[in-house]
Amino acid sequence: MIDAQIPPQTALIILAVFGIAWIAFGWWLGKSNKTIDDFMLAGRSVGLALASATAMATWITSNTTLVAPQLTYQFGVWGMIGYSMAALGLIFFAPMAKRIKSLMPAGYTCGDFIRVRFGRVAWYVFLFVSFFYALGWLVSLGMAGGILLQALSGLDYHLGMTVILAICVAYTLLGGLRAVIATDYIQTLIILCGVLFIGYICWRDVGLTTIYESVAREQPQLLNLLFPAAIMFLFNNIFFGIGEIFHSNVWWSRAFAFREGIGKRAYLIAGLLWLPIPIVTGFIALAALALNIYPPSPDMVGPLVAAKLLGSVGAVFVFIVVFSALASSLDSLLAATSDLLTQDVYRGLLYPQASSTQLYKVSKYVILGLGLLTWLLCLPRVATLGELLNFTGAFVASTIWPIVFGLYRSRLAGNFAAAAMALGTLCGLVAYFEIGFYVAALTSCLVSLLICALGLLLRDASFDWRQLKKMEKARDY
Amino acid sequence: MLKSLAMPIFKVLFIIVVFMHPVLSHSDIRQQLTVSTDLATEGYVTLNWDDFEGDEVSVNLQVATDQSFQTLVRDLKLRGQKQVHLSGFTDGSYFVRLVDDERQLLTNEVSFQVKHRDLQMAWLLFAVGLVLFVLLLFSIIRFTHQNK
Repeated sequence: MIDAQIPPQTALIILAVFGIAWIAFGWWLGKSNKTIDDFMLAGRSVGLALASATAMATWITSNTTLVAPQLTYQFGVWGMIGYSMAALGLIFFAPMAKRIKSLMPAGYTCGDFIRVRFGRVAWYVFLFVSFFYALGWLVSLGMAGGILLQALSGLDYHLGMTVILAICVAYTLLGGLRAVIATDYIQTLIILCGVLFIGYICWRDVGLTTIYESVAREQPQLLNLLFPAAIMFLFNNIFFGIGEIFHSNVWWSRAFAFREGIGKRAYLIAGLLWLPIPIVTGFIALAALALNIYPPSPDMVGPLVAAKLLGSVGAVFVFIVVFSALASSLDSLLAATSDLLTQDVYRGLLYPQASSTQLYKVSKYVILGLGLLTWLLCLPRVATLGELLNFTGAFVASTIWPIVFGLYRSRLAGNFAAAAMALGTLCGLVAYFEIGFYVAALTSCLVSLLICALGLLLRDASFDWRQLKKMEKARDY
Repeated sequence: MLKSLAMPIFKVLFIIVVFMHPVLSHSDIRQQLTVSTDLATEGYVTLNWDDFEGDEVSVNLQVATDQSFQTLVRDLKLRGQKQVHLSGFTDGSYFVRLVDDERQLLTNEVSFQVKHRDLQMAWLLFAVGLVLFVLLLFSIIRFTHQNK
């Protein structure tokens, strides 16, 4: 049974209040941005507490609060555990963040690294992969906003999606990465407290026995540890998560932004704190049938259960928690993708002589453009969140091995790195359509590794690491 | 003449009203129920049906393992929705229909089959994933150590 727990007008008022608060905060923080380094990398001086908070908050996305329940509702226990294993992406990235900072103290984007390390061909392939993934993630976040509001308040999907996108674009535009990180800190606290509270209420009011009995009676396959698709899903999701983090400028920009010596610890802490969150959010999905909730779409199960458990007031609470999760990721993604397009495409490909002032302006236009493109792509609502997200798995998992070998081994040549990413993506997509979304990332990663291994066997590129340190960027007004 | 025609006309009208009444009063009878797939390899499906009159109309979605609906595995009361996603089915054939509170049929019946993927293939992919994972972990640890 679907009942709107929050009147649509209340939902809009909450959005307006939070929106104004976030935008005002972003504007206030943005006043101290003087250079492109300030706007894009928060002055490269972020400390441990903010660093850990932003890493964790950014990785707690609407997908953690909507897709984790979806995957639990569809794949049961393995879905929940598999999703939580995405924490390994943060944990594995921890030592790499340190390596990145030491190799490229003046770096801006992951695209910089790929271009200098592997050459232009690999760079073009990487930009395509990265941009496609960023767009997929942006669209999933935009859709999530609309779905959330529809599930909780009955508000039209298109209206909810539009308003949430507009708010996030506005405060990212005003404050840059500084605003993104500061709002992440607050959003982390809201998310942590909210998720744990909802999980506790579910356990207290519904009870483990009731949940187990209803699932065993009506969804027996979800408790089956020999659920074939779920077993296939497990490592696929792990490599999807690792690929997302290893390649995405969202994480590289933070590695550049954190103070010296902070990155490794921050990512480690963030990963360990993040790990139980999808288990809690996934757990509540198992209570759906016990609460007579039969979601129209699997990505709505999380907010529907939470709203049913907490009633109207609780629905407001759920809304705030998921909105925070949404906003904390949307802003990061907008900022990081804008960095990538501004530095790598605008400056790297089109206008190499662009000054810092120009880049500063362009990055803002790019944020606006991304917001508009995302909105257009969110309009048709073509798939569930899980399917959309896992489609990008074929792309990102292909970058894992080129990046690992690229950071630590001078032998891997650029053409093999490019081939690994291209062919890995292609094979991953074939697997996605021929078998299912839960094998795309694994296939992509395997093919990519095979090509990288071939490259290491056949050729020694002997890359000079000093080339990365010598990267020059326009910095002055 | 008019008088002589009146009775036959009345009878015809009477027949029309009496026997067509169920059709006239249930303009929504036999709404179209559709299922997202005939063969579900993950044990979940999405069912859609047309709008019934009024958002507050209550319908009962029944899922059974036999065509006569004697063995029900799901009997859900739904209101205000025209789509539902069901999951957790084990291997087998399933039949679905929508009925009202008096168990009168509201839609056509649909069926779907659940046949989960081959477990051996699943374990093979799991093994491949595990090997890749261990390789990655080992590589990062070793490379980090070597670069210190």
